[in-house]
Amino acid sequence: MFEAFLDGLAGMGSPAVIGAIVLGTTLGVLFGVIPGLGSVIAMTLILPFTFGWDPIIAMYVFAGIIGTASTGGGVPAILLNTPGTIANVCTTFDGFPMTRRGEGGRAIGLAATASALGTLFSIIVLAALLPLAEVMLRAFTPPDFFWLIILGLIAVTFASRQNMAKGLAAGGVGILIALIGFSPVFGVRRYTLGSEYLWDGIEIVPLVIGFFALSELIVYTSRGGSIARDASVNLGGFKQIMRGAVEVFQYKAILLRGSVIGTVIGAIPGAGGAVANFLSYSTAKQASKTPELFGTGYPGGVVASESSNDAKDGGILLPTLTFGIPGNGEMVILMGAFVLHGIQPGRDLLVNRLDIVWAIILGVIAAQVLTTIIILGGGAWLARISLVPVKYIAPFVAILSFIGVYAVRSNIWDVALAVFAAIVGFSMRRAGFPLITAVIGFVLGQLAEEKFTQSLQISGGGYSIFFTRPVSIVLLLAILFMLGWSMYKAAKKNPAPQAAES
Amino acid sequence: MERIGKIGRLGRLVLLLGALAAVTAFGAACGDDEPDFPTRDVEWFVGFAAGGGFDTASRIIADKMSDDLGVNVVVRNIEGGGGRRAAQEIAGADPDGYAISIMNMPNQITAERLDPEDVDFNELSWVGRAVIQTYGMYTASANDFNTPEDLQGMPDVRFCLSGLAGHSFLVASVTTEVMNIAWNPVTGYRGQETQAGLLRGDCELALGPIAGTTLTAVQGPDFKVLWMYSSERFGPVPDAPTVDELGFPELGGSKFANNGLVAAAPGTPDDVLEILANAFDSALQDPDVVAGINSAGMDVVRLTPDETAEVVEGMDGIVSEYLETVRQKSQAQ
Repeated sequence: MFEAFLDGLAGMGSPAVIGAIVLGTTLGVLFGVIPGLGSVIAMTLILPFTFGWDPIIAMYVFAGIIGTASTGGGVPAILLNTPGTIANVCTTFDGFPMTRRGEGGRAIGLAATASALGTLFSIIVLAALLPLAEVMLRAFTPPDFFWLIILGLIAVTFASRQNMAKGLAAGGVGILIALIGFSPVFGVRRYTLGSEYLWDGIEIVPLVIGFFALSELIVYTSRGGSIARDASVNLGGFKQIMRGAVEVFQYKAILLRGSVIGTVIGAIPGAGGAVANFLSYSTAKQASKTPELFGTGYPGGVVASESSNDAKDGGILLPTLTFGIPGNGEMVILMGAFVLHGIQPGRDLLVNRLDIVWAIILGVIAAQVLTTIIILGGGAWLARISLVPVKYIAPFVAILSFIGVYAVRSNIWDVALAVFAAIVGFSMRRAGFPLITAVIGFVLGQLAEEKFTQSLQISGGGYSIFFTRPVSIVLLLAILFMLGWSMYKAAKKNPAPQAAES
Repeated sequence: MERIGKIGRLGRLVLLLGALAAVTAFGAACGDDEPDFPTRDVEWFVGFAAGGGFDTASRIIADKMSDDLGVNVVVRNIEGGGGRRAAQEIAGADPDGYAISIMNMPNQITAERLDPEDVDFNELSWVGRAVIQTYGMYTASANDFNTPEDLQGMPDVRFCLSGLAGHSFLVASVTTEVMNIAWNPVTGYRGQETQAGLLRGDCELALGPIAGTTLTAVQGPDFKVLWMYSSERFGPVPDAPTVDELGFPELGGSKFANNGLVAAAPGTPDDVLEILANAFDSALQDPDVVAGINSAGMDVVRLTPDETAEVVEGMDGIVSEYLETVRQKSQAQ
């Protein structure tokens, strides 16, 4: 294995490999920065062009995209309150308030460095764990997966900075939206109203773009001015960005926790960067001595979010490379690339094609370094976006959002859905219902239903399957601990009424 | 001499114009027999996401067809409804040959019969078969059963399947009825997740196309193929018996294979269809195209338009025959 690593390292000096990394990184950053596009679309678009290329070169391009999109996605999350990818949602909680304070550059510095360190951590873990991958995957069964999703849902509700009851209601709405469409598991249509469009259910891209990007545009267009409230505020330029980059090291515990959560959650197929993002943020908030600072423009919040969403890259590659089990959309396209280039994941890849494994690992690291340089170097320029009057930004973001929505499936009804979601999202914002919780309920609701059904089908209808497996018991205890800890903190914060009265 | 020379040049000009007129007239006369097709780009619909097997095969074939037809054959992904959107699009397209679509058969026939959307696959103008993948039944090597008899003695055999509406569910329903095996589906397993399910013991059996990463997996030590749904031994897995050998010829042939069939709109004129079919067949004879398709885990077994239409009719018959079995099992869940 070490020999293949050295060969890979030596090969990185070739112009073709450098060109491939630059191409992948550029695409990743570009598609990450534009809300709604993301790495999956970038990889999908480049995939057919790689047919006939040297597989190693193709893998460097894909690794470049995988390693950079969520880093790029942090920039619009910070500057426009619009996550570039679903895994950047928590970055908006503190990154955007920092921008409004005129500290957008500092937030970008924090995000870029946290992303780079998170990726580096996860890739080292990936390299170390490859030999143990099979044992890990066999240990994780559908009931374990179900409890993990429940843990994620509870964490998301706690992460909501608004009314808990409204948070739960919004999560419930998300789960109900997830039920729309044809259920392949049961072979029936649900709430499709006879519409062919709804047969596939509600697509996440138009929903998220409508909820986050377009509804935000409605808010800001109606308010006017610029995204940074005081347009005369100096964002600090390069000095402020570098201040943010160095400041990351003041949040070592948050950084390490986010990197670990991102890596572990990433390794679990289906969980993905969004779950890692929310778990990392909510755990950081729960463990903090000053949780009230989260959501107000707290630098630690940005570190928690951005370290986890990039640390998932190493974790998510683990089941893909070892078993050929793609954990998210990026990995599905990577699998498509494997098939196109005659590469077989699993034992064959890990024994016979270690050059491919190292091309991906080294490609992700190189792309992350390059992205960090691009964002740290160009961050001052990017940060100026928040000083441009909304009336100029709004049409630009709207057009990009609509292109992004349409690009995924070339379906004009997706654009209509995004507009509808924007109106619903705007109304929910006005009424104080957290949109994030609704979207996560939507994403995790589908998975929870699938894993719950699978578990019962495996057990022949017996519910004991949820309480007898070791991993399930550990996750259940984690859920109970999280609930108990929150109740304890709530009780500590708000003493019993009797005590207050006395 | 000078005058003669001038007349000579005029004469040559007249002759040239005459020849041009003759060529034009000849071309026009030929045009009465040859259809003026194609004069613009042809669209190739793929009802699935970019990057998948059918998408990859479509792009490889379309690229070669472009050379032959002299226009671009542009692949357009129209995802939705497990291929339904693309099927509806081609079923409603103008019958001019400028739109063709690859279909996942008989998967789409099964889905259509279980949840009708009024697409009659027998009405489409079939161009040919792009790819074929042979189905097989496989399990984890650690399991000690090997034959249908072993499975008949078990209380409830669990199958890892994607859902209760796909082609795999139909094949599982038919197989268990014909082989008299008590079974239950465990749903929600897509792609390689199935193999992880088998290794963990979520289920005992899985079935699907033995191609791509599945083929590599069953060629390794962790999995074994119990039988192939074919009448002849499957080259890449030569040790696996066929259903014919096991005494179940009704499951053999290529009835349950996964086919990528290409269709044009209903009512496409025969001469236009012939041009498309010739370009399509020519592409499939190109060694680079075949190599590209093989590397994507699929095989090329060419069919003429008439043979393709017959295959579709046969698939329709099988799906109709077993539809009630599938419905009953689905409702029992």
